[in-house]
Amino acid sequence: MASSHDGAGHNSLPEFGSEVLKHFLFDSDYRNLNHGSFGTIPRHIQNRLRHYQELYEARPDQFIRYDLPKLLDKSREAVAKLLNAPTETVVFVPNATIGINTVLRNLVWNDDGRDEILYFNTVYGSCGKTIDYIVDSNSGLVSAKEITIAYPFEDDEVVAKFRHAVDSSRSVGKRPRVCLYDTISSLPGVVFPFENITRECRKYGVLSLVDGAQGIGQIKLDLTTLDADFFTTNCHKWLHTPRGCAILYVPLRNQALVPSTLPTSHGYVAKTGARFNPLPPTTKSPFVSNFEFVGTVDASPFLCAKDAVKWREEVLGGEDRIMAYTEWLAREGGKKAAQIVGTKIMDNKTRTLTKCALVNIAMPIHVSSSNRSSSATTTSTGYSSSVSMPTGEASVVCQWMSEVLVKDYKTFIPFFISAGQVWARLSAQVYLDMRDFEWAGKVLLDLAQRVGKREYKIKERL
Amino acid sequence: MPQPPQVPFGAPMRHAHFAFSPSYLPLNHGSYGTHPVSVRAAHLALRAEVEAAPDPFIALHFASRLAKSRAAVAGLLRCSSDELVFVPNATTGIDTVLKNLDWKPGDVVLCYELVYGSVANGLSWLEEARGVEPHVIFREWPIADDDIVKMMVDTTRQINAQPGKRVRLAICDTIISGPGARVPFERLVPALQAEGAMVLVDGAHGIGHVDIDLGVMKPDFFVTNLHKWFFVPRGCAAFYVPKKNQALIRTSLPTSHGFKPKRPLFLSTPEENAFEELFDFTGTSDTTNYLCVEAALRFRHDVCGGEASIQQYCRWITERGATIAAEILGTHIMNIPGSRMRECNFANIRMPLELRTEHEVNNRETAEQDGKVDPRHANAVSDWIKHVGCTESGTYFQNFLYRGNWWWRISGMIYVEEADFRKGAHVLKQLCARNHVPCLGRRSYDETSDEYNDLPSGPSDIRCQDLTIPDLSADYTQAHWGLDETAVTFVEDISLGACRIKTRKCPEEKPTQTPGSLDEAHQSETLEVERFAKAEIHSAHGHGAGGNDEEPMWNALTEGSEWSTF
Repeated sequence: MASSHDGAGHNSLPEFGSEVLKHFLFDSDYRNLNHGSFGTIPRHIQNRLRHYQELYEARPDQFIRYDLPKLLDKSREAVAKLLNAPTETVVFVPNATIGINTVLRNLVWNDDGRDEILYFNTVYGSCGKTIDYIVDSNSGLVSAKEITIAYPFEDDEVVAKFRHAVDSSRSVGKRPRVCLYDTISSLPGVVFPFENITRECRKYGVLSLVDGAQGIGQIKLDLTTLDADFFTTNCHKWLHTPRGCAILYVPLRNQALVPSTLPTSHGYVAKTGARFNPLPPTTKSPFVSNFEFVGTVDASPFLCAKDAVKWREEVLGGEDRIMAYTEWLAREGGKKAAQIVGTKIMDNKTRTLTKCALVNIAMPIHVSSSNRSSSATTTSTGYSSSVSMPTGEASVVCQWMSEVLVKDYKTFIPFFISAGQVWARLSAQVYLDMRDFEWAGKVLLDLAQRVGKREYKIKERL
Repeated sequence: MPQPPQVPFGAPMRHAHFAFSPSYLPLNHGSYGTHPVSVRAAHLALRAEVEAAPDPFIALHFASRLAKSRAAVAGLLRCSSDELVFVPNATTGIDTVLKNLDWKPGDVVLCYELVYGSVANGLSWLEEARGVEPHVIFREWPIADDDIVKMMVDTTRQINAQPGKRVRLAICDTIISGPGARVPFERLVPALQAEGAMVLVDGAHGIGHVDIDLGVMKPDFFVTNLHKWFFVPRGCAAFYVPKKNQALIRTSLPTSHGFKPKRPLFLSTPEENAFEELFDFTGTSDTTNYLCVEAALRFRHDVCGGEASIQQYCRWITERGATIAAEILGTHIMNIPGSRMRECNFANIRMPLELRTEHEVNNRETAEQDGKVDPRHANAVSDWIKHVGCTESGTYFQNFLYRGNWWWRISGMIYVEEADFRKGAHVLKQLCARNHVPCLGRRSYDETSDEYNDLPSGPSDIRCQDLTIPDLSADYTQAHWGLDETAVTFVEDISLGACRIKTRKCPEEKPTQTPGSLDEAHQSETLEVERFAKAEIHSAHGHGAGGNDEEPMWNALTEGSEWSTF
């Protein structure tokens, strides 16, 4: 079934699916259907990670001060190449949240109080809170404006909303300084038209800040062509590096806008003059050397990025082959699962939402916005029955389903409420195949039926 | 009465429980620490557990397991566990305070000139971005304890006496990093609080190093690294904020899921600012090391005989090491009457190096032969000693130039013994002597030896035995380190950091500089030190493992390989 999608002709390459599972570290009874939240690493990368950690303890000072920076450069180089970005524009940070924080906390807001941060209502939770904090802590210098779009949106619609937001912001005397948006939003897991919005930002003179938390390794990225002002992407999700590894890309023209790391540390070049830096002297740019050491942590995950790129190339057959498979599996596997549940996947008419490795399957659980109906009601529609309940109860149901999945089914699937309905997000990966999605469909159907029997209420009472 | 350790402290402890390369001499625990192999085993097990079922571990069980680590550390530091969270390092903890306080016009942050570098940068950022004035007391250390307290209190009063100004925050250390010196923090905290300041204690060198009782000290903010002196894997610090101050710390760094905005973007019920939750999850990272506290405690208790036993040995070996080093270097140990600065695992030994005075620099004739260092090369000399110490002798000399004098900061730790400091001091003495030679000025190391700029920086071979595919790093080694005749290459066994020597090409003698750069006396001293060091190693075998199973491994590691450059 998968063979037509995994680049036939490379006899040495594995067929994706269960054959690839042997490279990974899952418990034999655990099925990993949610790669998108925290990712995971193959055994080879685990070995590399351990190897770097052993180098650390073998000669701690020498490794951290002299050898680590060189290895870090190699790793930056490998990732920069994959992203088609100049190496001097790419540094490592532990995760995308830190990347976004680093940019937003460095921007200097104008004294006139007119600066505005634009973002979409699809923003990731922690990044939304970062905007809140920036607004809260800058004594009125900067405000935030949310652009509301409804799933499933069309790309053109998003562009139109953006233009309208910029115009209306300006019409009330505001200055849209920066716009934060995703490559792929988290829940629902759908592609955001980030290329279009980056073009629009450029056109309107708004700084583009791209949250590519779901990015490298999942979809093809060309940062030079994209030409965003700031871009961050997690390597630990889809590139198979150990957790705590992300890229922050800042083109040379914008590096002066990011003078400090988070936390501010040794590399900071103060306007008032340089201070003692305990690390060996360097000829690297302030941007690169600043992010080389931000306080003692284990930087081994950063070093593994180079190894992960290579492993994916040599063992999995490269980025194109991987992405062709995962995109196909997400869409077709998602459809299969939805068919079993008796529902549909989330997509738009132009099918741009599903050009990624995530897919969202509607659950037959409807959410009524009014609080009048205080408890759930079951209705039969066609071949499957569907439940309707108020928002508060639906949240409890989502929580219950997640816990039951771990306990009874040895897997995990995130649930969320969108467009008046409960949805399940599945992640495609090279170690999964159509059978896993069929299994997921059956499990989701089973869960929906258990919800219909109000099992979550029994649990609540216990 | 401290309990005796299971394995004697010193070389036996090193061989039985630590993963250092056999050719490495660790005399600088203080910068980055290290952890014993039993803690590493616990850490590997945790990491394996995450990959076996990632979502349940991270999303469902992590916070409650972290709570156990927090409770254990809170117990040791004597605070309530809802006042203590984990952050990656002290720098992050301190910057979290600096970036959270609601700074008001006229607010001043007070510190002394030995405030840690990254903290000083944090203050510069605060000045530039928030207009908060830092006030640094420039006064030469060491300073007697009474005078430290007086100087901080008097300065606070002077600043507070100025209209519109107040010292909002004062920063002091438990132990200063460079020079390594204990600070009378127990006295500073109440004295400065009495003047109306909040006090932030930088305990980067704190837990596992000096006794800390937060219940008595009552600082406003405190952070301490667990990866330095407590044996938790790197990237782990405890950050303490008493309940009365938690409302001031509104967000973690980075701002993340735990933030409770004043005007939320999303519909949610306003809640109390739950300090603990704020720091439970600040973005995906590997924080399994936060769960290694228990393994570290077990090692400290079961293997080392407890905190008192560790502290007693570390103090003793620091004192012995410093005395031996000062004797060999012909110098003295930094101290001042009326100070407890030496009540810690650091000692600072003056290095036999002199800076040229301005007059001497201008007098070209004497400047060629005085054996002193040109001020323009001062920092380069420190860097050169660090670099060459690593590449030639497998020792990192944490040395610094402070107000015109060079100091070597040594760290006492349970895995070092007197002989280690003897070896280290001999190597450092040689290095200092080589720096006396005028032709080893900055330009010389470039031209004659390539040592400073172009020599590969280390012998760590990046090859891994069990690779199934060819590794880039082999090319890397070839291209970057292949020319290094003196390098020890080692291949590691993937199991718990055990290292063994693979090949070793020993230099016939030190690469000579331009003729005359090393005079005969220096050369013969080199050889003598090498012989001496070998004898030391053999004696280490003798008393070292003492019937322990580790001994054969140690012998196997060294047998037939002329690896020591000491």
